[in-house]
Amino acid sequence: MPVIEAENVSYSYNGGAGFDIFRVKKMNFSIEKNQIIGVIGHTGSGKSTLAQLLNGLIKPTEGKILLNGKNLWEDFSNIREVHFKVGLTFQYPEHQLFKDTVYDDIAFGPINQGLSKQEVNTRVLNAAEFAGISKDILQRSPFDLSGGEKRRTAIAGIIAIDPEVLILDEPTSGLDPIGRREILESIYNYHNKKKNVIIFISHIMEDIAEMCDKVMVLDKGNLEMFDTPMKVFSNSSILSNLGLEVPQITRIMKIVHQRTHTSDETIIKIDDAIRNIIKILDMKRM
Amino acid sequence: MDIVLGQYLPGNSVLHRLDPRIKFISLFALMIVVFSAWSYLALLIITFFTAVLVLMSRIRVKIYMKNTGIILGMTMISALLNLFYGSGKPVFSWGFISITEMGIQNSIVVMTRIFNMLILSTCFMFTTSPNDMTYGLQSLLKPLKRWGVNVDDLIIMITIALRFIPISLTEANKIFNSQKSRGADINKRGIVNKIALFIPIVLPLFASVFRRAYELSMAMECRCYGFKEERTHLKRLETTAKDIFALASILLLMIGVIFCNKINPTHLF
Ligand SMILES: Nc1ncnc2c1ncn2[C@@H]1O[C@H](COP(=O)(O)OP(=O)(O)O)[C@@H](O)[C@H]1O
Ligand SMILES: [Mg+2]
Repeated sequence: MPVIEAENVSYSYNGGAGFDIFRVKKMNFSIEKNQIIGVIGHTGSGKSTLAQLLNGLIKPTEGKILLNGKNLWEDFSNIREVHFKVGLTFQYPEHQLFKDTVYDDIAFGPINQGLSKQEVNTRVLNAAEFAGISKDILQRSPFDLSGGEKRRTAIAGIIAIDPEVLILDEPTSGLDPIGRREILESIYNYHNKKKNVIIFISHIMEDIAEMCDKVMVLDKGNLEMFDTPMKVFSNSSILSNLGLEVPQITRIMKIVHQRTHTSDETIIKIDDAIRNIIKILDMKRM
Repeated sequence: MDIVLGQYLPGNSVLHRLDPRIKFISLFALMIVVFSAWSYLALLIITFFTAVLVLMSRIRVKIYMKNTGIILGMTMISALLNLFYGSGKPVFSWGFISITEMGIQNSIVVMTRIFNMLILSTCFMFTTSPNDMTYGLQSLLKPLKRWGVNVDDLIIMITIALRFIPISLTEANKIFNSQKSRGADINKRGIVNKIALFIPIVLPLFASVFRRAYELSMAMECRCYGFKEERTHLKRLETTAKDIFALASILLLMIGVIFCNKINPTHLF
């Protein structure tokens, strides 16, 4: 059974002067368990809106979203449970930090869940470990941390809720390359341990290519493609029409393949590219 | 959260294109006219004038009604109460309730005045962008410089404050949502719970407003704000024929109202 299913989901923002602006149009998809799903799309294509729909913050104007076969909005009063099952970190999540210490901030979610002190403690320590937060900063003020550390604190705050589905809205935007790599590694390790569904919204195609099992391509609120990264990134012309690019390594390997008249498969990961180039070089030497 | 702030509705009508300084002066003059009119004929002329302005703004009447409806309704009710507070000969009486001729006149005059005042100021709000408003105000307040009031800084403060309001609202909304998805219970009752909910939202909001203010002041300093005394504007305010025409017609209206008050006075004031 799929973990999340969307059936004809539409959402429109009320556009002030009385007319509605559609932001998500009749989306249909289903997400299987233990997958990392990438979401790409131009700014304003509705990625964050989709994230909020899945998290139950906003209610679809039409259609329904099923979590483990059950409609999110079946029981209105229970929507808070949905927030706990589908954890969401917003863009720039560090702006939501507010407690005196990193520890307390991570504990905010689990305490809201009504867990015992001991359970909260284990949750916080585990989440901190997953997010790569060292023990010595747990007692510091979140406002004194570096950008990357703040970001990881905010992400740990959601991991501590222990959601079945974790949605990360552009978790690496505005970070330096090292901060970015650290966060991606944390997410990947977390996924490998937990085996839960992760929905990963990003602008950076290289990250999507390295991390994801499947990719959603959004454009103006429409779900244009939903397929493996390999398939999605082999359609470079469609992507460029939507204002998106393929990963750099894909472009490079395409040229290498053309020049050497070797295979025409789409390469999206660095490791595959290296292996492929070595193979080509070996072939030439013979 | 759907809060419309600064009710400006972009457009290209004559009213949109008027010099904001002239619009400020006109609005002020119209307020005086509205409150000095006490004859039925004068009120009728004013109402007609208002209707023409509404049409000229090229904004649908429905939108005016939507925006003024509640305030209008409330003031109308209070004006209606005027009916029962008139001295003189009762026109109608039933038990302790009596309605006098003066009461009727009173409430008609009050209602018409409030109605016109509301619609006129709404019309001004709809057709004047916040930028135009502040520039207009700046230009009008310039004489205050002579008394040591720093008009330019005052205006830049107002402009920035106006800009900050929608940004902070969006930010507040985002913070509210993110705490909600961390399970902050928004439905709990009781003062302690409400305060407990307040902190996770207000604290980050303050942090973000201060951060923004700091970044903005840096950016302004980088552009040498405050380095030179006289600042110029991208858009120069210009008074043209249509502005003169607007002033002239308001002057005409004033004369008309004074005249009507003379020849067709209601007996009260
Ligand atoms: N709270 C809101 N009210 C009205 N419109 C909104 C709101 N949030 C987003 N939008 C609009 O919806 C569109 C999609 O936004 P979003 O989902 O944030 O896109 P993305 O995350 O892909 O950049 C944008 O054009 C934006 O202007
Ligand atoms: Mg977004």
